[in-house]
Amino acid sequence: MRQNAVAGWLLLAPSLLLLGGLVVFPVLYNAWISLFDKHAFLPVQRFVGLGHYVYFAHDEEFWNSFGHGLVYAGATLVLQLAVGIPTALLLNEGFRGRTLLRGVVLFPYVIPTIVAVMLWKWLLNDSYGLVNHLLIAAGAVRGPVAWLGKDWIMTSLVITSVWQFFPFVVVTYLARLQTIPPELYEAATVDGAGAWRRFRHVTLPQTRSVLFVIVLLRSIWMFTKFDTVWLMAGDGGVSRYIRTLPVYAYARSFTYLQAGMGAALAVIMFVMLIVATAVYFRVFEREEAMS
Amino acid sequence: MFAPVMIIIPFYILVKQLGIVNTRLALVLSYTTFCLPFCLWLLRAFFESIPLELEEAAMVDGAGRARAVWHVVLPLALPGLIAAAIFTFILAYNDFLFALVLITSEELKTLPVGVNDLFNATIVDWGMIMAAGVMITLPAVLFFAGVQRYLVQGWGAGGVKG
Amino acid sequence: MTRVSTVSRRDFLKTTSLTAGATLLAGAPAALGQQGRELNVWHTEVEPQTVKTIQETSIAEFERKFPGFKVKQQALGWGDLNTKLLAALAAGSPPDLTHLNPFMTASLYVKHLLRPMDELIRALGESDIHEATLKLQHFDGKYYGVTHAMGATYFCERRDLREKKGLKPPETFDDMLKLCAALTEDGRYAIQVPGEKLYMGFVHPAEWLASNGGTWVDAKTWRPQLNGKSMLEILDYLQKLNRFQPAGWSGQKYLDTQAALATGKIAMSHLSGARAIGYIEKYAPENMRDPEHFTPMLRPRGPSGKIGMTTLDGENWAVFSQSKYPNEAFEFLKLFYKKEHYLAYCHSVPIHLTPIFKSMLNDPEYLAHPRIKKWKSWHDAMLAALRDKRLLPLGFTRPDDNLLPFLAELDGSSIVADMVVEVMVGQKPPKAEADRAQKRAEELLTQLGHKRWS
Repeated sequence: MRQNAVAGWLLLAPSLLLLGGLVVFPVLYNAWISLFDKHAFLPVQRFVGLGHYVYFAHDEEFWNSFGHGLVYAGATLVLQLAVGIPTALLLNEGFRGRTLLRGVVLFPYVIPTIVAVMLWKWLLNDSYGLVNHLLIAAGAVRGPVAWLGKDWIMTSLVITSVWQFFPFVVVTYLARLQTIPPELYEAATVDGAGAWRRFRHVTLPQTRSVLFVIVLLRSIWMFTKFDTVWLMAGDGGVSRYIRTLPVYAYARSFTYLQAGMGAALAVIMFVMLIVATAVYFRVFEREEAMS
Repeated sequence: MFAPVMIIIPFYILVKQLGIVNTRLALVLSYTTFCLPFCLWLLRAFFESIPLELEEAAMVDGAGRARAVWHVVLPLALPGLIAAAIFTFILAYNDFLFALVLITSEELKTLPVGVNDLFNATIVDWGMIMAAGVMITLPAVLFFAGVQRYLVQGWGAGGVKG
Repeated sequence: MTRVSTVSRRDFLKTTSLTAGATLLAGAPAALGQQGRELNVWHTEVEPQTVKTIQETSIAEFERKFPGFKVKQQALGWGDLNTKLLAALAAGSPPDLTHLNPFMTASLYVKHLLRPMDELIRALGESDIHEATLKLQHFDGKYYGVTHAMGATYFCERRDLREKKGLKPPETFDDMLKLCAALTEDGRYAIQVPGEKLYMGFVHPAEWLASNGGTWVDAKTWRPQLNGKSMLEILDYLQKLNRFQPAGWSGQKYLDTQAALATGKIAMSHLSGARAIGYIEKYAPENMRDPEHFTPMLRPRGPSGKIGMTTLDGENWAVFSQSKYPNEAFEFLKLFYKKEHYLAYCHSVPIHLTPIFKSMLNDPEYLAHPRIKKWKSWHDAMLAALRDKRLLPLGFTRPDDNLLPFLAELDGSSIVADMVVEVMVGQKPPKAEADRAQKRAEELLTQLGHKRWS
């Protein structure tokens, strides 16, 4: 057994070394400089203790960004589930061309973010985008809709993100669906259950744990999503209406040039996620114990 | 859980200290590091699902630990390895920020950085940018098409185990 | 069957791990082998033909003159250059030579991060460098930068449309609103401001302030002036101006506005430079690709201003005190400004890259370029603005703003951009938004340690 333990540690060593060296240092470094008024590149550094954290508690921009983040993560999560789960259920049925369709559905997840955002901004462009062209041709709207303007930019961002990330939901959910023993469905059918009741009483209980994982991962990942949000509006005029916490943290470090404050925001996000994860594990363990 | 943008500066300092700014090695190390946690988590679930008895049986048959792992365990865990590979591939292939900051020479530039350059030209040539988009996507799609049946198994098993 | 597939899987694993190992090893020599001296030059002129020109002229000659030296140029958009520079400065390893924006040079000078270059300036001909740029990086009697080239920004207007209405180029904000009202018709909007923060939240606000007797901060106390009389008048003007813009302007970029102008969707682009010519020549109707239809127009003045001010776009070369090869960097600059090389450089994007030497502005050899010949009126508009002293560097509200060590942070904070977008797009009351911006700006300067007011 001791020998096993030694071998185990030896096998783990490279990973631990990499993680320890390359992740722990940056994270600790962030926590450390969050206690200073540190300029992004000038040699200015003044100890402020928890001053930045106190400041953010009263900072309107912080709460705005937090709010945008909740809206963004919430909306994209719900829609990813709403689109992803039915798609997975569909792809779980046996029909011709299923493999092909599966490939097509997964396509958006493979595309580099920069290309995906570019594509959607092009489609949604108010003067020559396809979306407006179709809407006008169909008589659904009278004039072009400014999809990338103030009123619609959040909607556009959500649409783009859902398109980009729902395949993750499809894949994960589909995989679990495939492992449900067919006998369960057969038994339910014999008992005279219709499609809805089969879903309600067989599929849902079977997939509850995987749903739980999906919800957690996707909400964390959407809450910390930077590139899609940033590429959508950069720091331009409309960015005001979709500025989320990662974007705000980035701005504090890289454009306000207040690296200390940016680091504090990073730490705040990190703590939020640690807490969320801890709660998740607690609830998940209870669920597992119950079933 | 740390958004990559937030650790790019300390990361750059580190890479600088190691003397590997502007090398492929720097990018390889950074993407490896970013994907490690998710991959560990995923692979652990896979290895757990392989019955210990199989390994022991192989060892009873006279195979050493290393051979048992190589011939029995790894092949069974292949779907998980593939899933982890895909996840890592997509992340590294699509990354913009690390490639931008850590690389300074034309020869080592990655594709997303190259596409970004197209936006800086006097006339933004949308046809060209879209063409570049397709070209970038193709290798990823081909890679994906080749391994997608493993992926469906891979992520599922990892996901279920939490 | 199973057996075959197991073997192939094992092969897969073997190949994969071998490939991964080989990749790592291939990276290693590059990491170790940093022998051979390298001059790192970063700049913001990303046009392929400009990069090529620099490579074939200055760099080629430099590498001939200094055997064993390689020049590595990196052309990056301003935002990307900024990000890279930040990381490099934080790690204490900036490039040997770089472009900076004048609005951030002061911060670096104050912290002793830049090298003086008086000898270079004298070698280039101090008296020949145009006054509009010469003293921008002149601190405490020394030069710390030299502008690479000048570019003016102005409105680009459809002159034919304006003349059809019998209207003159606007002198004041009021004239401008009247002109815009007249030109908004037939599904065409009069004007479009670019949506990037750098422009709508920094460059243009600076111009508006300078054209309306305002400044970013009080000259003595550095207290921000974002809710002063001048800014409130400007915000009022902007709120009205917004009626004549396409609804989605705040989500569109500078280059989108050039495309919109060339294709007749708008009558004026708020920000235009020589890069607009490329769009006009490519996308405007064939019989309209000329300076008679598309003309530069200088800025109007506000009710409290004397004259309309416009932005002089031109980054400056700077050499860091941590630069590894400062002398070689200066030698490189001498070659860069050598007449035949510099002429080729300026010709790589005509008019956008206007020479900084007075002797070259009217040099027949410079003017001989076909693009400049055809669009001579654009070049002349720039000369007129230079003559009348209507140009200020990017983001400046007055010449002395080159001493403010916090303009980059003010720009980066989006404080002004948020105010402008709320007043224009959100149609919020200007006073409340100005007060909010003022409060944020005062907080920012206090945090940065620049508070001098009480």
